Formats: sequence, C-alpha cells, structure tokens
Amino acid sequence: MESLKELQPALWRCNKCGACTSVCPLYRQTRDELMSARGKLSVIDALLEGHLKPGKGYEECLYNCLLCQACAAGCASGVPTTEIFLAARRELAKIKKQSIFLNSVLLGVLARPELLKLGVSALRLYRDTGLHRLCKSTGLFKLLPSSLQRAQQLLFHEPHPGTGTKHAGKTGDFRGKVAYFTGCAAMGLMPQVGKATRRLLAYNGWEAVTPRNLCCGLPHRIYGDVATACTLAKKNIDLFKDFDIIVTDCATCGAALKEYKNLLAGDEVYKERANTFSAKVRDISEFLTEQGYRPFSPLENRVSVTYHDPCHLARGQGIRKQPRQLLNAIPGVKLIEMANPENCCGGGGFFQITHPRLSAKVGSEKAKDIINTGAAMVITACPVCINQLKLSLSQEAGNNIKTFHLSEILAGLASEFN
Amino acid sequence: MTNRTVAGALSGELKQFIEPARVLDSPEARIAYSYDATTRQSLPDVVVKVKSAAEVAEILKLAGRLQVPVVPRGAGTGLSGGSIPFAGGIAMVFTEMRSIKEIDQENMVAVCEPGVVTGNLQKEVERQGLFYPPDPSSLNYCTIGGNLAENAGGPRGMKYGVTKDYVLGLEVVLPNGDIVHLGGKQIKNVTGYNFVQFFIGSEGTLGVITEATLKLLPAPPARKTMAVTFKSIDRAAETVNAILYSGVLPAILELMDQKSINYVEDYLHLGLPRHVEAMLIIEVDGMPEAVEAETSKVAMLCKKMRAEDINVAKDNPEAEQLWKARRAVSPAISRVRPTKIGEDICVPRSSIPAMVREIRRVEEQFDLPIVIFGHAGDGNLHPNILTDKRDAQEMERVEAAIEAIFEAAVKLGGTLSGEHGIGLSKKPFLPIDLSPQTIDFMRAMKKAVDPANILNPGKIFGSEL
Ligand SMILES: Cc1cc2nc3c(=O)[nH]c(=O)nc-3n(C[C@H](O)[C@H](O)[C@H](O)COP(=O)(O)OP(=O)(O)OC[C@H]3O[C@@H](n4cnc5c(N)ncnc54)[C@H](O)[C@@H]3O)c2cc1C
Ligand code: SF4
Ligand code: SF4
Repeated sequence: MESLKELQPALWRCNKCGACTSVCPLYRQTRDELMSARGKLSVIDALLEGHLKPGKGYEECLYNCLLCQACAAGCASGVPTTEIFLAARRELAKIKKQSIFLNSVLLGVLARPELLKLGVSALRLYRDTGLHRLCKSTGLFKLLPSSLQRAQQLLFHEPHPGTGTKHAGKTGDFRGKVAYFTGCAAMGLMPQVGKATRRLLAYNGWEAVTPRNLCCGLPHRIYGDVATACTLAKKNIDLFKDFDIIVTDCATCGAALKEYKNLLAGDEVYKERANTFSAKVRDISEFLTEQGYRPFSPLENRVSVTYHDPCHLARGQGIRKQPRQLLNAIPGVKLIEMANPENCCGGGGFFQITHPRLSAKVGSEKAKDIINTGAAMVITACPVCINQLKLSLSQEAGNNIKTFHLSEILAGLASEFN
Repeated sequence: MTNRTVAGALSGELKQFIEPARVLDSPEARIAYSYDATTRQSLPDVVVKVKSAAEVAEILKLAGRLQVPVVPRGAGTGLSGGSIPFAGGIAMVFTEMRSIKEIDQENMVAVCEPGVVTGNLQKEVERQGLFYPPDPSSLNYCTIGGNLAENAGGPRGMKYGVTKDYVLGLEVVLPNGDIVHLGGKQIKNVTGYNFVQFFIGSEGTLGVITEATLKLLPAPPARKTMAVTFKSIDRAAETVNAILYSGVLPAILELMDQKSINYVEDYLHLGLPRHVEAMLIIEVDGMPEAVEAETSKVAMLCKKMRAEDINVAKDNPEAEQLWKARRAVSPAISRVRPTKIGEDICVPRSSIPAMVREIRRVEEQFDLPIVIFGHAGDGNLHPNILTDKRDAQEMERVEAAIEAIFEAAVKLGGTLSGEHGIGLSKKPFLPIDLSPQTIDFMRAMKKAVDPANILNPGKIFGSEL
C-alpha cells in the first residue's frame, strides 16, 4: 500500500479545476472548500510540504468526508482522491495516541442515544479485535448511559446469529453451495436482511453456508487502522478458502472484500490468496444476474419503487444495472428513477453518528429526491443506507415511504417486516 | 502577507459585525481559499463569507482603514489567478450570496446574487421556458460573479455572445464602500455613462458586484448536433466560413486538432479517425423546421468541401455521444503529462489555420507537445502545453513558448485572452497586446476608483499604481 508521500505525485495531478465541488454532497450542503476534495487535497499537500501541523483542524478536515467516492468518479484528471484520503487517515492514526474511532463513535453515540442501535453495531465490530479489552481497561464504558451499557453487555454475550442458520421458505432445485458473508449490520441491526438473502439464495437453488466470519475490516480502514484491517482480512480469507463463491448483501462489505487484493498486495504470503478471495466475491444482485434466477412471484398489489445506488455498490463495485434488472423482473413492480440516484445518502459508515448534523443535511437532500418520485418504496442494497434512508425519510414531512433491501423485496419479504 | 498582528486584529474587527462562523482564519481554511484553477497559491490572512452588499461595504471601509487588500472570490475556478490573494488580506467569498431573487418571465430578465452557480441559474430559467446562453465549460461549479468579473464565454459565444451581452444592470460596491446601481431591467438605457460594462471583465479590481440583472432569451425549442472530420485544418477553417457565408449561424462550432483527437482516442477508444487534421462539432438550434433545413444545408456544404466523414446525430443520446469526444479532451490530455497549461488566445476567424501553423512551429522550436482545441466560430483557441511543473528547466521553455504564442496571436490581429482574463498569469505579457498609452489609461481608471489600491491589487497590472 502506497504511503502518502508516494501518492503525492498523484495528488499533484489535481489542477484545482473545482469540478469535484459540484459532486461532493458535503460541499453542496456547506459550500465550504475544506469539505471538497480540492480543499482536502491542498491541506494534505501542505502537510506533506511541512507547511501545516497535523492538529485538530487537520483531523477534522480528513474526517469531514463521507468517502463516497463521488469526487474520484467526477475528477477529469483521475486523481485517486479516496486512496489519498485513506492514506492520510492511516498516517494520522499512527501519530495519534488515542483511537480516532473510539473517540468519535463513542462520543457520538453518547450525544445521540437515538443512534444507539447503530452504535451498538459499531461496537460489535470491535468485539473480536481487542477493542473490548481496551474499552474495559480504559473504563470508557463506565461513561456510557445505562441503556448502552446494557447493549454492550448483550453485544458481548450474544451468540453469533449467523452460525448454522438454516433458511426458511421455498427451495429451488439444488444448484450448488455458496458461502454467505454475514455483515455486521445484517447480524445485529437488521437480521431480516440476511434472512431475506439466504431465502433468496435457497429459492434459486443455492445452499447458503454461513461460516462465522469476522468484520470485513472496512471500518478499521476508514479510521486509519490498517493493521487490524489486514488481520481481519487474512482471517476471513482462511475461513472462506474452501468456497468458490462468496455472496454478500452489504455493499460496503462487498467493496471491502473485493479490495482485499489491494489491501494485501504487499504481503508475500497472502497476496495470491487475497487475489483468489477477492475474485470470488459477489454482491447478491451481481450473483443472481450472472447465474440466472427463477421467476419471482408476482406481488399482491402493484407497487412503485425507486432505487438508491449505494456508493460502495455503484462507484465501489460498478454495480448499477443488476439491481434494476432484478427489480424490473418482479411482476407488479414499477421502477421510477429518482434524480441523482447515485448521490450519497449521507450514511457513510458511522458518519451518521460522528457528524449527525451534516449527515442529516445530506440525508434530507436524498429524501427529497426520493419523495419527488412519488414511489411508495425505496429499495437499496446496503444496510447502512437503509438505516440512513429510514431516518432521513422519517424527518421529512408528508411521506409514508418504506425502505427495504433489494433482497427483501426479491424474496417477497418486503411487506412482512414493516 | 499582512503582518500577523494586523491579521489578528483584522479577524477580531470582522467578527464585530459578521457572525464568527463566517470569518475563517484557521490554517486549514486559509489554505483552502488560497488557490484557483491556475494552481498558483497564496494564503489570505482571513476568509470572510459575505451575505450582503452592506457587509461588503463595511468590510471595504475596514480594509481601507487598515490598508489591507480585499480579494473577491467566487468558486475559485478562474484560469488566470484573479481570485488568488497573492498579497494576503481578506478573501471575500461569495458562495453564501446565492439567491436567485427574481425570474421576470414577462420582461425576460433574472435578478441574482453573485454567488449563484451559473448552471443552477440556467436550470432555473429553463424551467420557465427561458434561456441564459453563456456557457463556460465550468458552468456546473463557477459563479455568476466570477463570470461577470472575467466576462466568461463558452461554445455558444459565436451565435449568442458572451457574459457581457447579457448584463442589463449591476449593484456594485466601490472600494470606498459606496454602493452604486448601474443600468436596470431596461433593454435600452442611456441615462448616464454605460458603466455596467466598465465592471464586466474587470477581474474584481474596480468594484465588488453584489447583484446582477441579466437578460434572458426564449429557449430554442430544437437543436441538432453533427461531427465532421477533415483531412486538413485549412479545409475545416474554409468550411466554417462557407457555412457562415451560406446564411446559417450555428449555435456552436467547436474545433479539435489531430493531437486532441488522438489523445481522446487513446483515452476513450471511441473509434475516432486518427489521421484527420481536424474535427468540427457543429450544433444548430432554433425552431424545429429551421433546424432541420439548416442541418441539411450544413451537411451538404461539408460534403461539397470534401469532408472526410459527416455524422449527424439522430437524437439526444446520439448528440451526447458526439459531444463525448469534445468533453473528453481535457481529461484525456491531463493524463498525458503531469501538468497542462491551457492558453486562451483569440484571433480573427480567418487566421485560425495560420495560428495553428504558428503553434506547430512553437511546438517544434521548444520541443513541447501542444494540443489545440477551441471555438472555431469565434477564433478563440485553447493551445494546451503538456508539461511537468516540477521540471524547472522545462518550465523555462514553457514560459518562452507561451510568449511566442502570444506574439504570434497579436501579430495575426488577435489577443492574449478570449475569456480567461489576465489576472496574475498573463500580466507580464500585457505590453505585447496593449500600447503604453492604453495601459496608462486603464491604470488611471483603476486609480480613480481605488486610489488606495485596496481591491485585488497586483492583478492585470503590477502591484504599484
Ligand atoms: C475546467 C474549467 C473550464 C473552464 N471553462 C471556461 C470557459 O469555457 N469559458 C470561460 O470563460 N472560462 C472558463 N473557465 C474559467 C473560469 O471558470 C471562469 O473564469 C469563471 O468565470 C470563474 O468563475 P469563479 O466563480 O470561479 O470565479 P473566481 O475564480 O473565484 O474569480 C474570478 C475573478 O472574478 C472576481 N470576482 C469573483 N466574484 C466577484 C464579485 N462578486 N465581484 C467582483 N469580482 C468578483 C475575482 O476577484 C477574480 O478576479 C474554466 C475553468 C475551468 C477550471
Ligand atoms: S475534480 Fe480532480 S482535478 Fe479538479 S479540483 Fe477536484 S480533485 Fe482536483
Ligand atoms: S469522498 Fe465524497 S464527501 Fe469526501 S470529498 Fe469526495 S465527494 Fe466529498
């Protein structure tokens, strides 16, 4: 993985044209240069040139970012903005004593008890990575409100819900075995999504096996903790080595798993294995459209839906057509495109917790685009987006739009859970 | 840069009458407002996001008292360094003054604040069946204020003119803090001097624009696009003249030279012919019947001029496909070498082939790849030198090549800049184009409105007045 210094020539390709300001959801809300890629890149460049110290302002600048990749996609000069931002976070983490993750996420949850559920799933991530002990030893949990303390107790004692789960529902003629990667969100925040995906696989003749996987490591990467991200990646690679296909229903996990090959490119032992692993990963929509699918049963009532492209699916994995193809294949579904379906919803991992006000502003822009379609449902393909869309829609007056994962509507489970 | 004690006092004083959240002086914020699209950089002492003409007036008075420069800034997409606070001072940012105050359908005018993004204004007026034609390629992110101050143009310039042709009235804050109103909603107005135009293209050196009344047109209901290739660039230029002479006035006549075509082909693999010397993208607009007739006429003319290939788009998606090549020029060439330096000369239309030959000569003489594209209809060419700004020796050659290009342009009856302005980048070359008397006259005007040289000092001319 390239160091920030090594990435500097790529940074210099930025000719400050400003195009990225118009696609940055945060710039659009704040019109603050520091939020845009152009601003961040110049701040990072100043740091590299020794004109700036990595203080609070610098950290804020790096973390005022959804890592939505819209700037990278919109940059005519091909500046690898996301890569540069991640490298900057990684190197900042090295010089900081405290975990930025701990600080920002925990303090964010403390400030916003209504985000408890998401906070819990954030904490869950660290269950297997040493954070648990760290929290205990620093006494940080003592600071938490009692509800959260209860939650964290549950969190650390609850059995892994993915283990050995057998799907329910109709099963198609057996076509083969696939591994299902259980994302943290599907594990705790919305188990119904995982259930829907497994049912969908079964309906199409695939036996879904759910090894007890670890976190995909993306949260660690975005908070600059690459060492942990690599450890997790290696463990997951070993765990899934006997499978030919690894299906996921979380856009974020999918993007992270497909990235293992880059994450471990410098690791002599794991380089090849990571390549093989990443090549096996499929988003559920990608998998079904590649392998073919049985006709979906018609919906009882016709319904109009709109589709939100998760950043990590559209820009992260280039998957845009597949979910739409599947939605259009459900008899009774009418797909209405919203304006700018690829605009970030503002969820951005834990951005919702760490930057509640900004996140809500971005969310509101998205919610308005959704409402303007007149659709009854919004479908997406990432649990983080679902959480954010639900929250954002609930905050806009005069709508009763339901939010579902693609798997839920495909598995005929959309009505069951709302 | 202003001395730090003054700078500290400055922030403090500004915060007396402006919400502290809009007065930024952190090191990070100062960095983020230190550049424009020239990539030159110079830190302001403080950044202020203004919200009204009254605030602007107060700031100018304060700056006058403290003798610190004030540099207006729109979106910082300028290509001549106009918004760079190269002597420090206050970066006065207009992105918060972004309301479209009125779209008057009956009189076909729009009244807006300077921070409105050009593309947003266009979308809003289009919703009412109206049309604001100036179309700089940066329209999705540059501001009306920046467009007025640079007199921005775009591909549609040839039929529809440039920003200056759409300004009916202005509210301007003068360097001494006085607020003046010039022109208005009237199409005809000879009451007093025509000072509206005095401020258009003034690059933020004469006054601060806080409101503009802009002329709108009815939106043309139909348009049609075609791409035509030519074996020789002379043929392409002759064809442009033949089209205009035939009585058709296309909305757009864009030119790409062989190098641009090849770099785009390397980048996107669109199947463009690599051997042709020029490609024209032609767009006609107007009433549907007229558009059909004019398209056939242009296609016929191109055939008569022995064009290599004539490709008329049947519908919008096909037109988009044709535009793809032209839009890809910038991205394609920025991948070739680390730095591209885009110039902006404008020559009489008939001199385009001669100018292209001159640029080829410069290219050879200084051994630097130069790509040419631009607006064939109005002679505004963008020769782009592909280089590496970290290579000091090569940059010396680049400077010399730029000067040679300017000299050639002026000799052919042209000018240094068609639409990007002089700012910092072209200021050393001003005497190539303007006589000493002309420059003196301009300086005298600047001195008359800004005797203390507070407003954007050191742009266009040297720092001293
Ligand atoms: C990719 C790209 C493509 C471009 N294409 C074109 C093109 O096709 N045609 C073209 O003409 N230009 C083009 N430009 C140049 C640039 O976009 C224009 O000059 C634009 O008008 C600048 O607007 P801005 O809001 O970014 O102004 P800034 O760069 O912020 O400022 C430009 C000048 O305006 C002054 N200014 C800004 N606001 C005010 C105000 N309210 N009052 C007084 N002075 C003010 C500033 O002091 C400065 O001198 C392009 C630039 C880029 C990066
Ligand atoms: S779009 Fe790319 S080149 Fe332009 S300012 Fe943004 S990062 Fe820089
Ligand atoms: S990744 Fe998204 S939020 Fe971050 S700078 Fe780029 S466009 Fe803005």
